[in-house]
Amino acid sequence: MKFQYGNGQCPLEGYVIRRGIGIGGFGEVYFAESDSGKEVALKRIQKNLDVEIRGVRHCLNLRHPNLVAIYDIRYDQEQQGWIVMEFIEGESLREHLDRSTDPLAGPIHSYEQGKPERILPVFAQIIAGMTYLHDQGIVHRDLKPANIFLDKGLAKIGDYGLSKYISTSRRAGQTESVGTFHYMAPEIGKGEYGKEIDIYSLGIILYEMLTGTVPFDGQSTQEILLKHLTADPDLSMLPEGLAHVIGKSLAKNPTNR
Amino acid sequence: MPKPKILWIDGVGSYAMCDSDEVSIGQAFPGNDVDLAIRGDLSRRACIIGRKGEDHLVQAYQSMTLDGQPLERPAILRSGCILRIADRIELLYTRPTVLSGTARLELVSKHRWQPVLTAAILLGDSCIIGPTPDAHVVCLPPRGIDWAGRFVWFRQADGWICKGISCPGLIAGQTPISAPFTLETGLRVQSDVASWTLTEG
Repeated sequence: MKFQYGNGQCPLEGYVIRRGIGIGGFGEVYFAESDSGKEVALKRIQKNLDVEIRGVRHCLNLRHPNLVAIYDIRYDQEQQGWIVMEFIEGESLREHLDRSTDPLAGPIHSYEQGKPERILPVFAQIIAGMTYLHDQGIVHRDLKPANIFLDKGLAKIGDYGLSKYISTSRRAGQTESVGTFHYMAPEIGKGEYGKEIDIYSLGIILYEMLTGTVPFDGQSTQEILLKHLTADPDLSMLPEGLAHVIGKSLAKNPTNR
Repeated sequence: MPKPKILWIDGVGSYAMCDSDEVSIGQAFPGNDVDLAIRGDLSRRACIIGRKGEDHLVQAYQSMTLDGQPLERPAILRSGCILRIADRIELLYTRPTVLSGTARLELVSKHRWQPVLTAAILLGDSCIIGPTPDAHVVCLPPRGIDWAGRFVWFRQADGWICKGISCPGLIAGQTPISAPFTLETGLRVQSDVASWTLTEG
Protein backbone atom coordinates (compact mmCIF):
# COMPACT_ATOMS: atom_id res chain seq x y z
CA MET A 1 0.00 0.00 0.00
CA LYS A 2 1.57 3.27 -1.08
CA PHE A 3 0.91 6.91 -0.42
CA GLN A 4 0.49 9.10 -3.45
CA TYR A 5 2.39 12.03 -1.97
CA GLY A 6 5.74 12.13 -0.24
CA ASN A 7 7.72 14.49 1.96
CA GLY A 8 8.01 17.99 0.61
CA GLN A 9 5.14 17.84 -1.85
CA CYS A 10 2.40 20.50 -1.79
CA PRO A 11 -0.72 19.10 -3.42
CA LEU A 12 -2.85 21.54 -1.42
CA GLU A 13 -1.84 25.18 -1.50
CA GLY A 14 -0.54 26.42 1.83
CA TYR A 15 0.50 23.02 3.18
CA VAL A 16 3.64 20.90 2.87
CA ILE A 17 3.29 17.13 3.24
CA ARG A 18 5.71 15.67 5.78
CA ARG A 19 4.67 12.03 5.81
CA GLY A 20 1.76 9.68 5.31
CA ILE A 21 -0.16 8.74 8.45
CA GLY A 22 -2.53 6.08 7.19
CA ILE A 23 -4.75 4.83 4.43
CA GLY A 24 -8.39 4.12 5.16
CA GLY A 25 -11.55 3.37 3.29
CA PHE A 26 -12.06 7.02 2.37
CA GLY A 27 -8.55 7.93 1.32
CA GLU A 28 -5.09 8.83 2.47
CA VAL A 29 -4.25 10.84 5.59
CA TYR A 30 -1.04 12.86 5.81
CA PHE A 31 0.84 14.80 8.44
CA ALA A 32 1.50 18.25 7.02
CA GLU A 33 2.57 21.72 8.06
CA SER A 34 1.00 24.95 6.97
CA ASP A 35 3.15 27.75 5.59
CA SER A 36 3.12 29.32 9.05
CA GLY A 37 4.11 26.07 10.80
CA LYS A 38 0.75 24.78 12.02
CA GLU A 39 0.79 20.99 12.29
CA VAL A 40 -2.27 19.40 10.74
CA ALA A 41 -3.58 16.14 9.37
CA LEU A 42 -4.77 16.30 5.77
CA LYS A 43 -7.30 13.75 4.66
CA ARG A 44 -7.53 13.37 0.91
CA ILE A 45 -11.02 12.27 0.02
CA GLN A 46 -10.83 9.76 -2.77
CA LYS A 47 -14.24 8.17 -2.61
CA ASN A 48 -17.76 9.49 -2.32
CA LEU A 49 -16.59 13.08 -2.18
CA ASP A 50 -20.01 14.68 -1.95
CA VAL A 51 -21.29 12.36 0.75
CA GLU A 52 -18.23 12.81 2.90
CA ILE A 53 -17.96 16.56 2.42
CA ARG A 54 -21.59 16.94 3.41
CA GLY A 55 -21.06 15.00 6.62
CA VAL A 56 -17.87 16.82 7.52
CA ARG A 57 -19.33 20.25 6.77
CA HIS A 58 -22.07 19.48 9.27
CA CYS A 59 -19.39 18.97 11.94
CA LEU A 60 -17.01 21.73 10.89
CA ASN A 61 -17.66 24.04 13.84
CA LEU A 62 -18.01 21.52 16.63
CA ARG A 63 -15.56 22.10 19.47
CA HIS A 64 -14.75 19.65 22.23
CA PRO A 65 -11.44 18.52 23.72
CA ASN A 66 -12.40 14.90 23.17
CA LEU A 67 -13.17 15.28 19.48
CA VAL A 68 -10.55 15.45 16.75
CA ALA A 69 -10.98 19.04 15.56
CA ILE A 70 -11.91 19.67 11.94
CA TYR A 71 -10.36 22.94 10.78
CA ASP A 72 -11.44 23.28 7.18
CA ILE A 73 -12.46 21.70 3.91
CA ARG A 74 -10.28 22.66 0.96
CA TYR A 75 -9.96 21.75 -2.70
CA ASP A 76 -6.79 21.36 -4.73
CA GLN A 77 -6.29 22.43 -8.33
CA GLU A 78 -7.87 19.21 -9.54
CA GLN A 79 -10.93 19.85 -7.36
CA GLN A 80 -9.91 16.98 -5.14
CA GLY A 81 -11.38 17.49 -1.67
CA TRP A 82 -9.17 17.62 1.44
CA ILE A 83 -10.20 17.80 5.07
CA VAL A 84 -7.82 19.80 7.25
CA MET A 85 -7.89 18.30 10.74
CA GLU A 86 -6.12 18.36 14.07
CA PHE A 87 -2.97 16.24 13.97
CA ILE A 88 -2.98 13.53 16.61
CA GLU A 89 0.49 12.41 17.54
CA GLY A 90 -0.54 9.28 19.38
CA GLU A 91 -2.00 6.01 18.29
CA SER A 92 -5.56 4.80 17.86
CA LEU A 93 -7.23 2.82 20.60
CA ARG A 94 -7.24 -0.09 18.14
CA GLU A 95 -3.46 0.05 17.83
CA HIS A 96 -3.15 0.46 21.56
CA LEU A 97 -5.33 -2.54 22.36
CA ASP A 98 -3.51 -4.66 19.79
CA ARG A 99 -0.15 -3.67 21.20
CA SER A 100 -1.24 -4.29 24.76
CA THR A 101 -1.38 -8.00 23.99
CA ASP A 102 1.50 -7.89 21.56
CA PRO A 103 5.00 -8.92 22.62
CA LEU A 104 6.31 -6.16 20.36
CA ALA A 105 4.51 -3.56 22.43
CA GLY A 106 6.70 -0.72 23.54
CA PRO A 107 7.17 0.21 27.18
CA ILE A 108 4.99 3.29 27.01
CA HIS A 109 1.34 2.84 27.88
CA SER A 110 -1.06 5.46 29.09
CA TYR A 111 -3.00 2.74 30.86
CA GLU A 112 -2.94 -1.01 31.08
CA GLN A 113 -5.51 -3.36 29.73
CA GLY A 114 -7.68 -4.89 32.40
CA LYS A 115 -7.20 -2.30 35.12
CA PRO A 116 -10.44 -0.35 35.59
CA GLU A 117 -8.81 2.41 37.61
CA ARG A 118 -6.61 3.19 34.61
CA ILE A 119 -9.17 2.48 31.91
CA LEU A 120 -12.15 4.38 33.26
CA PRO A 121 -10.58 7.88 33.14
CA VAL A 122 -9.79 7.28 29.48
CA PHE A 123 -13.24 5.88 28.81
CA ALA A 124 -14.82 8.86 30.60
CA GLN A 125 -13.19 11.12 28.02
CA ILE A 126 -14.66 9.05 25.20
CA ILE A 127 -18.06 9.36 26.87
CA ALA A 128 -17.61 13.13 27.17
CA GLY A 129 -16.88 13.48 23.47
CA MET A 130 -19.78 11.23 22.52
CA THR A 131 -22.19 13.03 24.85
CA TYR A 132 -21.24 16.32 23.20
CA LEU A 133 -21.93 14.86 19.75
CA HIS A 134 -25.31 13.57 20.91
CA ASP A 135 -26.11 16.94 22.45
CA GLN A 136 -25.45 18.47 19.04
CA GLY A 137 -27.86 16.02 17.48
CA ILE A 138 -25.17 13.97 15.80
CA VAL A 139 -24.96 10.19 15.92
CA HIS A 140 -21.50 8.87 15.16
CA ARG A 141 -22.71 5.54 13.72
CA ASP A 142 -19.25 4.09 13.32
CA LEU A 143 -17.73 4.23 16.76
CA LYS A 144 -14.92 1.70 17.15
CA PRO A 145 -11.41 1.66 18.62
CA ALA A 146 -9.91 2.55 15.24
CA ASN A 147 -11.81 5.85 15.37
CA ILE A 148 -10.65 6.78 18.86
CA PHE A 149 -7.21 8.31 19.32
CA LEU A 150 -4.98 8.58 22.38
CA ASP A 151 -2.80 11.65 22.42
CA LYS A 152 -0.61 12.24 25.46
CA GLY A 153 -3.33 11.37 27.96
CA LEU A 154 -6.22 12.77 25.92
CA ALA A 155 -8.76 10.52 24.22
CA LYS A 156 -10.29 11.96 21.06
CA ILE A 157 -13.04 10.66 18.82
CA GLY A 158 -12.42 10.99 15.10
CA ASP A 159 -14.24 10.40 11.82
CA TYR A 160 -17.50 11.64 13.27
CA GLY A 161 -18.51 13.45 10.12
CA LEU A 162 -18.22 10.41 7.95
CA SER A 163 -20.37 7.90 9.60
CA LYS A 164 -23.57 7.78 7.66
CA TYR A 165 -21.96 6.54 4.51
CA ILE A 166 -19.74 4.10 6.37
CA SER A 167 -22.62 2.49 8.16
CA THR A 168 -24.76 2.12 5.09
CA SER A 169 -21.93 0.81 3.00
CA ARG A 170 -21.03 -1.72 5.61
CA ARG A 171 -24.56 -3.00 5.71
CA ALA A 172 -24.29 -3.55 2.01
CA GLY A 173 -21.02 -5.39 2.63
CA GLN A 174 -19.05 -3.20 0.25
CA THR A 175 -16.02 -2.00 2.03
CA GLU A 176 -15.03 -2.70 5.57
CA SER A 177 -13.44 -5.73 7.14
CA VAL A 178 -15.24 -8.22 9.34
CA GLY A 179 -13.63 -6.66 12.39
CA THR A 180 -15.76 -3.57 12.20
CA PHE A 181 -18.94 -5.62 12.63
CA HIS A 182 -17.92 -6.25 16.21
CA TYR A 183 -19.18 -2.81 17.27
CA MET A 184 -22.46 -2.68 15.34
CA ALA A 185 -25.72 -2.53 17.23
CA PRO A 186 -28.30 -5.14 16.19
CA GLU A 187 -30.89 -2.59 15.04
CA ILE A 188 -28.56 -1.23 12.33
CA GLY A 189 -29.68 -4.21 10.26
CA LYS A 190 -33.17 -2.73 10.36
CA GLY A 191 -31.96 0.69 9.32
CA GLU A 192 -32.37 2.29 12.75
CA TYR A 193 -29.69 4.85 13.50
CA GLY A 194 -30.53 6.48 16.83
CA LYS A 195 -27.92 7.49 19.38
CA GLU A 196 -28.52 4.12 21.05
CA ILE A 197 -26.28 2.54 18.43
CA ASP A 198 -23.38 4.65 19.76
CA ILE A 199 -24.21 3.58 23.33
CA TYR A 200 -24.10 -0.03 22.18
CA SER A 201 -20.71 0.52 20.53
CA LEU A 202 -19.43 2.19 23.69
CA GLY A 203 -20.48 -0.89 25.69
CA ILE A 204 -18.54 -3.15 23.33
CA ILE A 205 -15.49 -0.89 23.47
CA LEU A 206 -15.46 -0.75 27.28
CA TYR A 207 -15.87 -4.52 27.40
CA GLU A 208 -12.88 -4.91 25.10
CA MET A 209 -10.77 -2.42 27.04
CA LEU A 210 -11.44 -4.34 30.25
CA THR A 211 -11.15 -7.90 28.98
CA GLY A 212 -9.04 -7.69 25.81
CA THR A 213 -11.76 -9.38 23.75
CA VAL A 214 -15.03 -8.34 22.19
CA PRO A 215 -18.21 -9.90 23.60
CA PHE A 216 -19.48 -11.14 20.26
CA ASP A 217 -16.93 -12.77 17.99
CA GLY A 218 -17.10 -15.36 15.26
CA GLN A 219 -15.58 -16.88 12.18
CA SER A 220 -17.79 -14.97 9.78
CA THR A 221 -19.74 -11.75 9.46
CA GLN A 222 -22.98 -13.69 9.68
CA GLU A 223 -21.95 -15.40 12.91
CA ILE A 224 -21.02 -12.08 14.53
CA LEU A 225 -24.23 -10.41 13.41
CA LEU A 226 -26.27 -13.33 14.67
CA LYS A 227 -24.64 -13.06 18.08
CA HIS A 228 -25.40 -9.34 18.20
CA LEU A 229 -29.02 -10.22 17.57
CA THR A 230 -29.42 -13.22 19.85
CA ALA A 231 -26.51 -13.95 22.22
CA ASP A 232 -26.07 -12.67 25.75
CA PRO A 233 -22.63 -11.22 26.53
CA ASP A 234 -20.52 -13.07 29.08
CA LEU A 235 -20.19 -10.49 31.86
CA SER A 236 -18.89 -12.90 34.48
CA MET A 237 -15.30 -11.65 34.33
CA LEU A 238 -16.25 -8.00 34.89
CA PRO A 239 -16.53 -6.12 38.19
CA GLU A 240 -20.15 -6.02 39.37
CA GLY A 241 -20.86 -2.35 38.77
CA LEU A 242 -19.28 -2.34 35.35
CA ALA A 243 -21.01 -5.58 34.41
CA HIS A 244 -24.34 -3.86 35.06
CA VAL A 245 -23.44 -0.80 32.98
CA ILE A 246 -22.10 -2.85 30.07
CA GLY A 247 -24.99 -5.28 30.23
CA LYS A 248 -27.45 -2.40 29.99
CA SER A 249 -25.62 -0.73 27.12
CA LEU A 250 -25.66 -4.03 25.22
CA ALA A 251 -29.40 -4.55 25.56
CA LYS A 252 -30.88 -5.90 22.33
CA ASN A 253 -33.76 -3.47 22.52
CA PRO A 254 -32.36 0.06 22.06
CA THR A 255 -34.96 1.57 24.35
CA ASN A 256 -33.52 -0.46 27.23
CA ARG A 257 -29.98 0.92 26.93
CA MET B 1 27.18 21.95 14.12
CA PRO B 2 24.48 20.76 11.67
CA LYS B 3 21.09 19.95 13.12
CA PRO B 4 20.03 16.29 13.20
CA LYS B 5 18.38 15.18 10.00
CA ILE B 6 14.75 14.09 10.16
CA LEU B 7 13.61 10.68 8.95
CA TRP B 8 9.95 10.74 7.89
CA ILE B 9 8.52 7.24 7.59
CA ASP B 10 5.08 6.96 6.07
CA GLY B 11 2.59 5.27 8.36
CA VAL B 12 5.14 5.06 11.18
CA GLY B 13 6.52 8.37 12.45
CA SER B 14 9.32 10.91 12.34
CA TYR B 15 12.76 10.57 13.90
CA ALA B 16 15.66 12.93 14.55
CA MET B 17 18.76 11.08 13.35
CA CYS B 18 21.53 12.47 15.58
CA ASP B 19 24.84 11.85 13.88
CA SER B 20 27.25 13.92 15.98
CA ASP B 21 29.23 12.92 19.04
CA GLU B 22 27.33 15.37 21.24
CA VAL B 23 23.63 16.09 21.28
CA SER B 24 22.24 19.05 23.18
CA ILE B 25 18.71 19.04 24.60
CA GLY B 26 16.79 22.16 25.60
CA GLN B 27 13.60 24.13 25.44
CA ALA B 28 11.86 24.69 22.12
CA PHE B 29 11.58 28.36 21.31
CA PRO B 30 12.51 30.39 18.26
CA GLY B 31 16.21 30.97 18.03
CA ASN B 32 17.30 28.33 20.52
CA ASP B 33 19.95 26.38 18.66
CA VAL B 34 19.83 23.02 20.46
CA ASP B 35 19.92 19.71 18.62
CA LEU B 36 16.79 18.33 20.27
CA ALA B 37 14.13 20.78 21.38
CA ILE B 38 11.31 19.92 23.77
CA ARG B 39 8.11 21.90 24.17
CA GLY B 40 8.19 22.20 27.92
CA ASP B 41 9.37 24.13 30.95
CA LEU B 42 13.08 23.35 30.88
CA SER B 43 16.28 25.33 30.40
CA ARG B 44 17.29 26.51 26.97
CA ARG B 45 20.18 24.09 27.30
CA ALA B 46 19.20 21.44 29.83
CA CYS B 47 21.74 18.70 29.15
CA ILE B 48 24.13 17.15 26.69
CA ILE B 49 24.32 13.50 25.75
CA GLY B 50 27.73 12.59 24.42
CA ARG B 51 29.24 9.45 22.99
CA LYS B 52 31.99 7.76 24.95
CA GLY B 53 33.19 4.68 23.10
CA GLU B 54 30.16 2.44 22.79
CA ASP B 55 28.34 4.22 25.61
CA HIS B 56 26.43 7.46 26.01
CA LEU B 57 27.22 9.89 28.77
CA VAL B 58 24.75 12.50 30.04
CA GLN B 59 25.85 15.81 31.48
CA ALA B 60 23.19 17.95 33.16
CA TYR B 61 23.03 21.76 33.04
CA GLN B 62 19.92 21.96 35.18
CA SER B 63 18.39 19.79 37.87
CA MET B 64 17.96 16.26 36.58
CA THR B 65 17.60 12.72 37.84
CA LEU B 66 18.70 9.44 36.32
CA ASP B 67 16.44 6.58 37.42
CA GLY B 68 15.37 8.70 40.37
CA GLN B 69 18.88 9.58 41.52
CA PRO B 70 20.03 13.22 41.33
CA LEU B 71 22.48 13.71 38.51
CA GLU B 72 25.38 15.64 39.97
CA ARG B 73 28.13 14.54 37.61
CA PRO B 74 28.26 13.02 34.12
CA ALA B 75 26.83 9.50 34.09
CA ILE B 76 26.71 6.58 31.70
CA LEU B 77 23.22 5.78 30.35
CA ARG B 78 21.98 2.20 30.59
CA SER B 79 19.32 0.79 28.31
CA GLY B 80 15.90 1.30 29.89
CA CYS B 81 16.96 4.19 32.12
CA ILE B 82 14.75 7.23 32.66
CA LEU B 83 16.12 10.76 32.57
CA ARG B 84 13.94 13.27 34.36
CA ILE B 85 14.55 16.95 33.62
CA ALA B 86 13.31 19.68 35.96
CA ASP B 87 11.14 17.18 37.82
CA ARG B 88 8.63 16.94 34.99
CA ILE B 89 10.06 15.95 31.62
CA GLU B 90 10.87 12.26 31.27
CA LEU B 91 13.01 10.64 28.60
CA LEU B 92 13.48 6.92 28.09
CA TYR B 93 16.88 5.79 26.79
CA THR B 94 16.96 2.43 25.00
CA ARG B 95 19.64 0.38 23.29
CA PRO B 96 17.53 -2.11 21.31
CA THR B 97 20.43 -4.40 20.42
CA VAL B 98 23.86 -4.97 21.91
CA LEU B 99 25.20 -5.38 18.37
CA SER B 100 24.99 -1.66 17.75
CA GLY B 101 25.96 1.44 19.70
CA THR B 102 22.91 3.25 18.38
CA ALA B 103 20.34 4.28 20.99
CA ARG B 104 16.78 5.62 21.02
CA LEU B 105 15.53 8.51 23.12
CA GLU B 106 11.76 8.81 23.65
CA LEU B 107 9.66 11.31 25.56
CA VAL B 108 7.50 9.41 28.02
CA SER B 109 5.99 12.39 29.83
CA LYS B 110 3.22 14.44 28.24
CA HIS B 111 5.61 16.66 26.36
CA ARG B 112 6.43 16.92 22.69
CA TRP B 113 9.47 17.39 20.58
CA GLN B 114 9.77 20.38 18.27
CA PRO B 115 9.40 19.50 15.43
CA VAL B 116 7.05 16.58 16.01
CA LEU B 117 9.12 13.46 16.54
CA THR B 118 8.35 9.92 17.50
CA ALA B 119 11.85 9.58 18.95
CA ALA B 120 15.42 10.74 18.58
CA ILE B 121 17.99 8.22 17.37
CA LEU B 122 21.53 8.63 18.69
CA LEU B 123 23.41 7.06 15.82
CA GLY B 124 26.37 4.78 16.35
CA ASP B 125 27.87 2.88 13.44
CA SER B 126 24.65 1.28 12.25
CA CYS B 127 20.92 1.70 12.51
CA ILE B 128 18.12 -0.80 11.92
CA ILE B 129 14.72 0.28 10.66
CA GLY B 130 12.17 -2.54 10.71
CA PRO B 131 9.27 -4.27 12.42
CA THR B 132 11.15 -6.22 15.10
CA PRO B 133 11.96 -5.15 18.68
CA ASP B 134 15.69 -5.12 18.00
CA ALA B 135 15.22 -2.30 15.48
CA HIS B 136 16.18 1.22 16.50
CA VAL B 137 13.23 2.54 14.56
CA VAL B 138 10.46 0.04 15.22
CA CYS B 139 7.93 0.01 12.41
CA LEU B 140 4.91 -1.75 13.81
CA PRO B 141 2.15 -2.26 11.29
CA PRO B 142 -0.05 0.74 11.96
CA ARG B 143 -3.10 2.08 10.23
CA GLY B 144 -3.17 -0.19 7.25
CA ILE B 145 0.52 -0.44 6.48
CA ASP B 146 2.03 -3.91 6.68
CA TRP B 147 5.75 -3.65 7.11
CA ALA B 148 8.05 -6.43 6.04
CA GLY B 149 11.78 -6.56 5.67
CA ARG B 150 14.14 -4.02 7.13
CA PHE B 151 16.54 -1.28 6.22
CA VAL B 152 20.02 -1.24 7.71
CA TRP B 153 22.12 1.89 7.67
CA PHE B 154 25.92 1.65 7.93
CA ARG B 155 28.23 4.52 8.68
CA GLN B 156 30.80 5.31 6.01
CA ALA B 157 33.73 7.67 6.28
CA ASP B 158 31.74 10.68 5.17
CA GLY B 159 28.13 9.59 5.31
CA TRP B 160 25.81 6.62 5.41
CA ILE B 161 24.89 3.77 3.14
CA CYS B 162 21.60 1.91 3.29
CA LYS B 163 20.83 -1.69 2.53
CA GLY B 164 17.31 -2.99 2.08
CA ILE B 165 16.83 -6.55 3.34
CA SER B 166 13.75 -8.42 2.10
CA CYS B 167 12.39 -5.21 0.62
CA PRO B 168 10.89 -6.14 -2.75
CA GLY B 169 10.29 -3.33 -5.19
CA LEU B 170 12.96 -1.11 -3.65
CA ILE B 171 13.34 2.26 -5.36
CA ALA B 172 15.57 5.18 -4.36
CA GLY B 173 14.30 8.31 -6.05
CA GLN B 174 13.29 6.99 -9.46
CA THR B 175 15.92 4.24 -9.59
CA PRO B 176 15.26 0.56 -8.79
CA ILE B 177 17.84 -0.57 -6.25
CA SER B 178 19.28 -3.99 -5.49
CA ALA B 179 22.66 -3.04 -3.94
CA PRO B 180 23.43 -0.79 -0.96
CA PHE B 181 23.08 2.87 -1.81
CA THR B 182 24.32 6.15 -0.41
CA LEU B 183 21.83 8.03 1.76
CA GLU B 184 21.07 11.54 0.61
CA THR B 185 18.71 14.06 2.07
CA GLY B 186 15.57 14.55 0.02
CA LEU B 187 15.83 11.07 -1.52
CA ARG B 188 12.52 9.22 -1.30
CA VAL B 189 13.03 5.51 -0.64
CA GLN B 190 10.18 3.13 -1.34
CA SER B 191 9.57 -0.60 -1.35
CA ASP B 192 6.35 -2.44 -2.00
CA VAL B 193 5.21 -1.72 1.57
CA ALA B 194 7.48 0.94 3.05
CA SER B 195 8.39 4.49 2.13
CA TRP B 196 10.52 7.12 3.82
CA THR B 197 12.48 10.30 3.23
CA LEU B 198 15.45 11.77 5.06
CA THR B 199 15.43 15.56 5.20
CA GLU B 200 17.57 18.29 6.67
CA GLY B 201 16.51 19.19 10.20
